[in-house]
Amino acid sequence: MNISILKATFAACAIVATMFAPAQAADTISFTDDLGRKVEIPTKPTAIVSMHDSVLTIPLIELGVIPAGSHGRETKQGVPFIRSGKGLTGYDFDNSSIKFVGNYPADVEKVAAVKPDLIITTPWQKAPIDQLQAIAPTIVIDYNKHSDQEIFELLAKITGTTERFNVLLGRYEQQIKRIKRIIDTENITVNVIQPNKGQILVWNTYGNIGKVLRDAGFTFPQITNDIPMDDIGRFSAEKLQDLDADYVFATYRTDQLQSPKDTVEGFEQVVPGFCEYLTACKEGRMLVIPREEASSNSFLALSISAYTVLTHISGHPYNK
Amino acid sequence: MSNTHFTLRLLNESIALKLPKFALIIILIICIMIVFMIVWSLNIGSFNLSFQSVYDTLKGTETDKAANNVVWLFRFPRTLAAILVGIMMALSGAALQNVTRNGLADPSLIGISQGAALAVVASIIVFPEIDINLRPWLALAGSLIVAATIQWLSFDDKASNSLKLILFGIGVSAFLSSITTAMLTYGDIYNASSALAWLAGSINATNWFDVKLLSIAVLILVPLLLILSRLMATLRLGEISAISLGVPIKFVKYALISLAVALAAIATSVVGPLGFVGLVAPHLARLLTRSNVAIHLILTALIGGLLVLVADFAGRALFAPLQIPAGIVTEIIGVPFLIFLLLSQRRKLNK
Repeated sequence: MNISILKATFAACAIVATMFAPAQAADTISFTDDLGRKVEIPTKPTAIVSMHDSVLTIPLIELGVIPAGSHGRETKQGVPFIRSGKGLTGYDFDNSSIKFVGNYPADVEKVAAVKPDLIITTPWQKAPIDQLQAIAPTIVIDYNKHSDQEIFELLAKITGTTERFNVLLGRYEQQIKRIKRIIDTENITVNVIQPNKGQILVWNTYGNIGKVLRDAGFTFPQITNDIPMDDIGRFSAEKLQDLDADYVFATYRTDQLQSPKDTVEGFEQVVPGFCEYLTACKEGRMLVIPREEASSNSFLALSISAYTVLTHISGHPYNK
Repeated sequence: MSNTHFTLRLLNESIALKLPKFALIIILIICIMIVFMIVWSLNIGSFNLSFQSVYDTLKGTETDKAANNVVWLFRFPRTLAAILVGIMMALSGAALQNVTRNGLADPSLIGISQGAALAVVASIIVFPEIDINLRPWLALAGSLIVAATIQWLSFDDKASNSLKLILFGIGVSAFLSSITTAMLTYGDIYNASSALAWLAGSINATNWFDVKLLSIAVLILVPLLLILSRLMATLRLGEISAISLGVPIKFVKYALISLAVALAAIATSVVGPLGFVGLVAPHLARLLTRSNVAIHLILTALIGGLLVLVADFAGRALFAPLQIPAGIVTEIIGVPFLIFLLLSQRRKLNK
C-alpha cells in the first residue's frame, strides 16, 4: 500500500476521532451529590437503578423515566412490590420491566446484573456506595437535606425531564389556587395526627396532606407550629385537646392492608373514647385517609390530597 | 508417639509440642470445610457466573468488568472478612470465658457491643450530618471507651475481680442499651431504621481495606493470645493454684481482657455487633474435642470463622435478592445447634 494513502487514512481517522471526542465528553455531566462527591453521570441515562422505592422510584416514574431496577419491599408471602407503585403509578415489578434489586440492604450483585448506567441512592440504603460506584456512576440524594419537591426537581435535572416536572408542578399550583379561591383557609384550623403505640405523633409537616394544607394557607394549632420544621412531636393523651382543630386528618397504611378501623383502634389505645375529646371527631370533621396518598413523594398523591381537602372542607355547603 | 497424641518436634527438638490426634483431625476437617465454603461462596450469588468465569477472574484472564467487580469487589473481600471477623469474635469470647471462668461470657458482657452501638446510633440519629465513613471509627472508639470504663470500675487490688467485672459489665451495658433504645424510639424513622440495620451486624459492606485491617489485627492479636495459652491453662485450675504455680495472675487477667476487647472492638467496628459467635464457638470447640488451651483456641477460631462464613453466605444467597444480616443468621443457626449439642451431651452424661 502506498505510504501517502496510509498517511491520509491516519489523518482522516485523527479528524474523525477529534470530532467524536467532544461529543463523548458532552455525554456526561459533573454532578455534586449530597455527600459532596463529584460524579460524572450520563446526560441521558437509559438504565437507572433506584435504591429507594417511595422516595426515588415513584418520582422517576411520574417524570416518565422507568427505572431498570428498583429497591422494593416484600409482602408476608414473599412477593416483592414497589411501595405505592401500583396505586400511584400503575407500575410494579409484576407488570413492568423494572427488576427487583432487594430491600435493605439491596443486593449489589442484582444491581450489577441489571447493568445500569446510573444508580441513585439515599443515605438510608445500606448497600455500600463504593460497591455501587464500581458498577455504575452513583449519586446520593439525602432526604434530610431536601423537601420532597426538591428531590423531584433534582431527579428531573438528573434525568433531563425538567419540562415534565414543571408541568406537574403547574398542575399542583393550580389545584392549590382553587382551594384558596373556594375556602377561606386562613380562618380554618387543621391538623394531621397519628396514633402510635399509645402516643400521638404529629409532624411539622406531614407528607402531602400537610404540604397541601400549608401551601393552601390553613392555620395549624400552636402546639403543631411549635414543633421544629421537618421534625416530629410525640404527645400523650393529655395533649389530645390541644391537638384539636376545625378539621383533623389521620392516616392508615394500605400497603399493610390496614383500614380506617385500625387507626381508630390506635386512638382508642391512646385514650378510650378519644372522639369525646376531639370536637372535629365528635362533629364529623375528622377524616381518616390512606397513607399511600397522604405521604408518598408523588404529584398524583399531591393532587389526590388537594382534592380530598377541597371536597372534605368545602363539600358540605348545606351544613351550617 | 502415643496412639492418641502426635509430637511435633521443631528446631532440633528445642520446641516439642504434644498434639492430640483427634483434635488435629477435627481441625483438618474444619479447615477443609472452610476452603469448601470459600469456593462455594465465590461461585454462588445473584449475578450468574459460571465456575470457569470465576476461575478466569481469579486468574486475571476474565475481561468482563461486571464479573471482575462481582468476584473481586463483592464476593472475595466479604468472604475473607466473614472468616476474620468470626475468628476474632470467637477468640474474644474464649478469652473472656477463660478469664471470668464464666461460660456465658461474650464480648457484649464487657460493653463492647453496647459501646459501639451507642456511638454509631448516636451518630446516625442525633448527628446525621456526620460522614458515614466515620462509623467504624466511632464504633471502635465507643467500644474501647466503654470497655475501659468497665475495667476501671471493676479494678481493685485483689486479683479476684471477675465477678465485679461481670456485674459492672451487665450494669453499664444495660444503661447504654437503654439510651440506645431511647434514641431508636424517638429518632427520625428513616435514621432509626438505618441504625437498626447496623445493629443487626452485617458483612455486606466490607471491602479490601477492611480485610487488611482485620488481617493485621488477627496477625498481631491471635499470636499474643496463643502465647498466653499456657498461663490460661493454669487459670483453669483456679486462682489459688495459679498463684502457687507462680503465675502473675493480675497481669494475665488484664492482658486477656485487653486482648478480648481489642479483638471484639475491631471486629465490631467493621461489621457491627455480631452476637452469639463469641459465646457459642468456644462451647462448640469444647464439645467437639477435649484438648489443651492452645488447641482449643485454634479450634474455637476456626469454628468462629466457619460459623460467620456460613451465616453470611446463607444470608446473602438463600433469599436473594433479600439480604439477611449475618448477625441474625448466626443466631438462627447457632442457638438451636448449641442447644442440640448441650442436650446431646447431657444425655451422654446421664447414661
